[in-house]
This record gives sequence, structure tokens and C-alpha cells, in this order.
Amino acid sequence: MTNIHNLTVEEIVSKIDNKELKPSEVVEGLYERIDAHDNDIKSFIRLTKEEALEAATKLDELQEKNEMTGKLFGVPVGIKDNILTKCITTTAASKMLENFNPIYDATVVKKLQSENSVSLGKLNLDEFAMGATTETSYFKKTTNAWNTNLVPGGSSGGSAAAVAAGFVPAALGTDTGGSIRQPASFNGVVGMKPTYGRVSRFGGIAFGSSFDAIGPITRTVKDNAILLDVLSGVDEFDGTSADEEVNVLDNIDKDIKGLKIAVVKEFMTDDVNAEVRESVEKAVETFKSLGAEVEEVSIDHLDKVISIYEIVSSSEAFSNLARFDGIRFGYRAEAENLEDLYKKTRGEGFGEEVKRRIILGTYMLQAGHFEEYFEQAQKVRRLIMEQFADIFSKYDLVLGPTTAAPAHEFEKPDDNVWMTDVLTIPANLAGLPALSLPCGLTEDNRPIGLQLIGNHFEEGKIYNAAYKFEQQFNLHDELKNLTLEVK
Amino acid sequence: MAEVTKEDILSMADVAKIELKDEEVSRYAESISDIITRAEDLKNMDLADVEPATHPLEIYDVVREDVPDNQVPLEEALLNSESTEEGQFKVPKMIS
Amino acid sequence: MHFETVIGLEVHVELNTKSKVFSGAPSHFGAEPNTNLSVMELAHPGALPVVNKTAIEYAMKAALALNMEIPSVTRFDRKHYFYPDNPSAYQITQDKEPIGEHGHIEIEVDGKKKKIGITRLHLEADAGKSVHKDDHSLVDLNRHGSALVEIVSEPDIRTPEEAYKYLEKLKSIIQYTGVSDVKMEEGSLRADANISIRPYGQDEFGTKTELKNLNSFNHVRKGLEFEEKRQQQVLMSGGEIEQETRRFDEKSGETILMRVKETADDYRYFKDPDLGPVRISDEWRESVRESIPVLPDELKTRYIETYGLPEYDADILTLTKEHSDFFNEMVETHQADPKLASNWIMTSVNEYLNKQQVELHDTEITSKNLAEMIGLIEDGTISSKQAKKLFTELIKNGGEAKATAKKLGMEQISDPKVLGEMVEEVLNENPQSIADFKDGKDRAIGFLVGQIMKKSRGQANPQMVNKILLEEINKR
Repeated sequence: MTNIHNLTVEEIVSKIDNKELKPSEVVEGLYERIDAHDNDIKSFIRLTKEEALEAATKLDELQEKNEMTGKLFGVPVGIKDNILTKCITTTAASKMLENFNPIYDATVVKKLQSENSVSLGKLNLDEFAMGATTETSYFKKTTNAWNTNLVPGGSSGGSAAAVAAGFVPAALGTDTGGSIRQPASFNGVVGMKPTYGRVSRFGGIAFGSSFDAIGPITRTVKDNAILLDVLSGVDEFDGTSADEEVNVLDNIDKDIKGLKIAVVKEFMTDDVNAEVRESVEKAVETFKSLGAEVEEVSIDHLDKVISIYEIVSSSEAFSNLARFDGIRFGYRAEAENLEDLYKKTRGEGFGEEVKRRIILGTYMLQAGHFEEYFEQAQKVRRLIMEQFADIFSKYDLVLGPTTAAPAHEFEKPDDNVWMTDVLTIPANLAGLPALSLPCGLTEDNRPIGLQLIGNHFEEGKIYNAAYKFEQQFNLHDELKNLTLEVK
Repeated sequence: MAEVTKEDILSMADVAKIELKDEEVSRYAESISDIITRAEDLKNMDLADVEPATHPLEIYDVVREDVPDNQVPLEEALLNSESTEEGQFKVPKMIS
Repeated sequence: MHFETVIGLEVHVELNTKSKVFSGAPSHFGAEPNTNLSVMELAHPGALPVVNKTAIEYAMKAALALNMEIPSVTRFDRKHYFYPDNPSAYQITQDKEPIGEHGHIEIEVDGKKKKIGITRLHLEADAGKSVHKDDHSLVDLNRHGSALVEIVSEPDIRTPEEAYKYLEKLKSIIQYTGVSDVKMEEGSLRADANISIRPYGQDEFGTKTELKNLNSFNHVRKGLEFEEKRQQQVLMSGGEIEQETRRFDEKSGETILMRVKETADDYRYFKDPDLGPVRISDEWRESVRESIPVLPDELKTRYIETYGLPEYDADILTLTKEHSDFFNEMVETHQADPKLASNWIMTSVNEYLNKQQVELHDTEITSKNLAEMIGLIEDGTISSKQAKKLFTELIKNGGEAKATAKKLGMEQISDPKVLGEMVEEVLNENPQSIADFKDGKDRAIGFLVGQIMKKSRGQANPQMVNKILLEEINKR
């Protein structure tokens, strides 16, 4: 029998469609894989076997009756645990929400369900998605799927590792400053942060509301486009969701001759690891060989994106996380009076990184600091947005590395790890869609990610270019042969 | 070099209603000082003519019609609360 | 030393939209605790606001009725403070770009007209409610998220009486627009006041105190009067006014210190990233303006100039929209005489409402029926004495005026044939009176009329009876 864990979304859909596989076989097959290896990877916070098998059995019946409807009929998925699932505990990897039982489904969860996909469980992340290694999770430390000594990246570390490890062919992640792309890059998989507003944020636990995006992580570009096609669309419950046409699949195989690609000079400095740069330069050559025109461009103020991000996202986090007070849901500390209830609940319920960012946001929004830092950051944010608008009036895509270096070992971050933020944050600042896909392996077998940034609502162009590139270079075989041994 | 003191941190923690451990206070003071030092360049830019960007995309005029839809049933509203009484959320006495 | 008082009022008005301002949860008064909620009001993780279009229109309508300017774009901000009735710990409100600015209304005190400026009107989410038990409090979030507008006056008010008149006028205007029930007892209108005093001639304002727990316009006036005197006494005795919040105590009529404000509150406002700007086109604004009914000031002028009503009457009739609507219908639709209609509303109707402590719509009377009743008086069908009785019946139990009068046996008998027969009978029964009349004793006529009235049980038309009686007696 096929190794179910190696199947892509596309393959599962077709094998169920021609009745080679039953939905329950797929689900059971993946749980076997998870049971065998997730003790090492620790990507899941919670498995929902009972619910998943029940759902799969119902799909089996529909399959028998030839009533297979939905674009993801029988496709197992994993969901980052800061996305609400009704009646299934959703924790944001925080003690604060250890026992939180959502009373509604996030819009993206509903969309996946309505296409008849099956969720296998909730995936680990940095607490409230604040972190870049998934180490700030209150519950467990996820490892990289390629090598358990390496960090999986973050904050969607659980999602990326689970997809790379073959636990699920697709998972949802969230991206505020790179949280889908960086772990996708570290794990050799494909991760898309869509245009701001492309995918509803309703039911995603807010961190930085003007940056947050929910997006798919998959093993192939096509799978990613299939997922985004399902997730996209305007939502009456999210006033920032966009009513824009979703057309990411029709032209995915189109010739990219004449495609205009800009390489941002500031993304390719010496602060980027040499092996990574080399891979990206190779990718540029590949694109040229496919007929694309590649030119170098420059963007001002990129040295300030980290400050902008720190100031604005932490301020929004101060506000968004103010609702966790122990009164209506979540952890509640023992307290004599109201003031203590607030302070102890929040002091004990939040982890150190989350509290640090809340305190930072509190500082930045204070009268005086607001004008000096917050507004100033929002102004430079506009300058950066305007430069991207200018670039996209001349080019189709912006290309660069996703991360400054491949995944590092636990406790041993590279000195230039900050450079990754410079690479990933701009897309969040400007609300642009950005995809990370594998473009190489280091000598010691660590995946390298290529980032393609597109203009607003032009995910289709990104997928098209990425798909063409993937035919020249991919890690499918390496992913299939991942040994997943105990370290 | 910008200096955020432990007192600053404690005063922010008071506003954000978070009880902090001593070591957290010291670490935050250091870390936030670093962030502020890094933001110095940004702070000193002359941007009088630039409009702050409050949203990454200009999305205008999103409104909903005034039509009530389903409300959350009381059991669900109270489901996650650790302390309720008479269908309400119970809190230590509020002083107003 | 003589002091000048400066008063500012912040009035919160709850809009009567069907759903909440940032979610589709129902918005109505009096539901069981915590049953009018969506995940937005519960501030559950992942909940997002979407603004109610009608709430924007209602806010705009109120602003336009208060002579305000409407900007071309309006935006929403987050205002942060932790409190159990504010579950997300931020209130969605409008800080720098409110929906209305630079308005005014005109009040009249002691016959003198005065313009009071209105700084701003903004749309926001209302807070929940809490009840306080012995050792804990209970939070009901039903009211949270209801559409609320805050209306802030300029520091133009100089006396507690002006404050009272301002509130009365503001309430009346808002009520006319129909965007709120403006019921203080249900909390759909709430007022906070701030007051400071300064020596005459001084430009700077004195330190102000804020007054809370003002549950009626009367309390506002009383609280301000007390506070005005208190501040004067403090200053006269060499003291200083502290910036503080004080609570009005109904029983003693005094204001009591709640807390001293040492530093200005920092609410850490910033633009709500979840809500984009809403543009208000000229067409939209003008269509809302057109939907505003005639407002009390204009109606008052019309009553005086077109119907010749005294100013006092016109004032009373325009105090509530219900009254002026009732009057307009009586006069315009049912052709009642304006002066008579006004008299009946001002006396009998209002007496009844005051006595029963009810509103016009709680009674059974309709404008049509009262107009019809006035017609019956005018054409002599009923006497004014009967009208009083009929009115009581109509306002208590309802019914058409004519039919009810008949049912009560009130209609006068004016048929000459019927009256002729009665006259005939009475004359036959009283030959002595005929003789007395012929002898020149005019009093006999009075006696005979009395007998006829008795026979008709008071329903005979007296003028007609007189006429027929004289004709018949002269024939004998």
C-alpha cells in the first residue's frame, strides 16, 4: 500500500475520488505516523482522533454512495492552536487558555469543514504566536522535522514540522511577522502569508491586528494554492476581509516568460548566510532560464522594519491581550479583590515573552511615547508601503531569501538571526502576499527557503512562478525519505 | 542611550494589570531599553508630512445592516467562566 | 468676591438600533442577563467588530439635528481601561475623528434666548452593567455593545438652570429625530456634568469637578446648585478646588467625594485596526438630513404664526414629539380647531397623564377621537359638561367619540317632532302654569322647561325646547 504520509493534498483527493483509498484509511494512516513519531517532533498540542475518525467514517459512507462533494473531500489537515475550533480546546499555547473551550469555529475552520476536510488536531506554536522557535509554548518544545536538534522555527513551528514530518499534508498557520514563512523555510515546506484581508481573521486569536494573516502550509506549491483557494474570501464577520476575486489555480502552470522579478539589494547583504545567498542566486538563475527578467532594486528604511514591527505589533498586542482577565474565560487566579484578580491572573497566566511584549506595547502607547515612537513607526510603515507600491508598478514579484540562515540548534541562535525579521516583516507591514518555498539544502542537510512577494491580491502570480520553479527544484523526495529518528 | 528603568516597567505593569516577578522586571527593563535604543533612528526622522499608516491596506466603508442575528445561548456565554452566579459573571466587589 | 460658574455636560444617548453597534447581537432593554450577546460582546478571542450602518446613520441624524458638521470620513479608536463591564478592556469609540463637530442648540431662560455650543458627538459601544452584592459583584453584559453616542457641550453653560434647559432641549431634539427613546429611567439617556467657578473677569477656567450619579435632570440641577455653592465656600474660605469626581446623593441633595484625580487618565487611544474608515458622501449625509422630521423650534414657530397659539402653549405642545404629533394629526388630518385642540391637550390630556403617570401612547385616546369629540361640542351635539365625562371615557377605555356619546346616552334631542310631543305632554299636565304665563308670570316658562328637561332626562336641546314651548303656549 501507498505510504499515506507521503501523499499530497492533490494525490489524496484523487485517490479518494477514484476509490483507491477511503477517507478513514487516510486518517488512520496519518495517525499511525503521528503515533510513531510525534513523541519526538512534538508538533501537536492536541489530537482529535475520536472526532476525526467519526468524521472520516461519515465521509466513507458518502464515498460509497458516490456523493463526494467539497474540494478537500477526506483531506486531513492540522490547525495551529491559535485558531478557534468549536468544542475543541484552543490554547494559543498558553497557560491562560489551557482549558479554553471555544463556542464558535473560526471562519477558516468552517471553510475547511464545508469542503469536507478532516482536522486531525491542534498544532503547537509560540505562546500567542509570539516567538520564532516555538519555544515559548507553555506546553512543549517542537523540533524541526529534519533534525530533532534543530528548532522548527516559529511561531507556526508545529504546523510546519507536522507537514514536513508527513503527519498532515496541509496545516494552517498564522503570520504576523514571518510566522508562516520562517518555519516553512526551516522545515523545507511551502508556506503562504496571503494578502492582508484575503483570508478572514475571524476566530484567529489576534496578536498584531494590522499584521496578522492566516495561511496554509503544505508540501507542494499546488497544494498550497488549493488550500488558499478554499480559505479565501470576504467574511461578514471580518470587516477587513476583502471582496476580491480568488484565482490562484487557473494559471498556475502558465509560462512565466517575461515575468518581471525584482531582487531587493538589502535582502542579499552579508548578513545573510553564504549558503543561503548562494541558493537564492541559483534560484535567480533558474528563473532567468525560465524566461523571467530579473533586476535589482533598492528599498529605503528596511533597517527600521524591526523597530516598526516591535513598536506597532506590541502595542496592538497590549490591546488585543487585555481581554484575558480570568472573568469570562481562561485562567483565573485566586484573588481577594478585583485589582488582584486582574494582576495575578495576567501575571500567572501569561508567559514571559508575552508579558514582555505587552509591557513594551504599554510603554509605546503612553502619551508622549505614542507620538515619538508609535506614530513615527506608522509613518515609516507608510513610506515602506509606498515603495512597494512603486516596485509593483514595474515588477510582478519581489524575490529574496525567506530567512537569513537555515534552522539553528536549540539554544544556539546565529548572530544574524535578526536579519530574518528584516526579510519577512516587510510583507506584513505592507499587507503583501508572500510565499516561502524550498530552494536548496545546506551541506549539512538543512532546508533553505526562497521568498516570493507579490502585489496585493496577486497570489496567483506568486503560485505560478513558484510552481514553475518547483518543477526545477523541490524537496519532495527528501521529505519522503525523512528518517525521523529519535535523536 | 535610552534607559528604561525598573520603575518604568513596574508602572507599565500596573497599567497593563500584570503582576511581575523581580527577575522579569530586570529583564524587561534591559530588553525594552535595547528596543528603544534601536528605535532612536526612527524617532529622529523628520516625517511631519507623512500620514501614519493605521492599516496595511485601505479598506473603506465596510458596514453591516442593522439586522439582529443569533445570539450566544446563556450556557455558552457562561461555559468558560470559572465563577458565575444568577446567569452573571461573578467578580470580587467592584468599587466605583 | 463674585464668581462666574462654568458648566460642561456630557450626555450619553443610547441609539435604538435593532442590533448592536459592532455585532449582530440583538439590542433591546430588559432581556435576561447575558442573553443579548455575540462573541464580540463576550470579548472572546478571535472576535472582530463590524460597524452597524444604521448606528452611523442615527448618529449622523442626531448630529445634524444638533446643527453639527459631518466630516467626509469617520474613524474608530480603541480606548483602554480595565473594568469587568468593559470585557475587551478597550472600548471602541471615536477619538480624533468623531461623526459630528461644531454644533449648537438654543435654549431660553427667563425669556432670554441663548446659544449653547456643542463640541462633538461620537459613536461608541456602551458598557455592560454590574450589580453589587455584599462581598462581590455580578456582571451582565447585555447592554455592552449597544450603540451609544456621546454629546459634549462647549463650556458655554453658566447656571444650573441653563444646564437643565440644555438637557431638556437636547432630549426633545433627539426624541424628535427618533434615534433614541431618551429614557433616563431605562438608561437610554445619561448625563454627567462638570463644573468650575472663577472670579468674574478671569479668562482661565477654574479647576473643575465632575458629577456622577445624576439620575434625572432635576438631580443635575440640584447637584450643580450644591456644587456651585460648595466651590464658592471653599474659595471664599481660602481653600482650593481639587480636581475630583463627586457623586450626587439623592437623599441629602449633596455631592460626595468619590475620588481625586491626580493625573490625567491615559487611555492609550489608537486607531482600531479591525475597523476601516467609513466615508460619508454628500449624498448620504443629505439623505439623512432629509429624513429628520420638523424639529421643535420650527414647529413652535409654526404653531404661533399659523395657528395663532400663545407661545406658552406652543412650548408645551412641542416638549415631546408624541404631543406635537398628536396635535398635528388632530388639526391637519382631522380638521380640529387648533385653539380648542391645544386647550384640550394642555389641560385635560396632560392632567390625566400627570395624574396617572403615563405617556400618551399608554392611553386609549386617539387624535381622531379627540378631534371628533371637539366637533360634537362645536355642533351642539353634547354640552361641555358632557364632554368632560366623555373625555374621561375616551382616554380610559377608548372608542369613537360619537358612538361613545350615544352609548352613554349623551346625545342631545334636537328633533322638533320629538320635542313637540314632549312640550305637548307637559303643557297638558300643567294647565295652571299656562294660566300663570297668560297672567304675565314669566317664571312659569322656567318651570315648564325644567319639566321638559326632566322628561328628556336632560338630553333635550334647551334652545330648541324654549323655541317650541313659546310657539305652543301662545297657540293655547
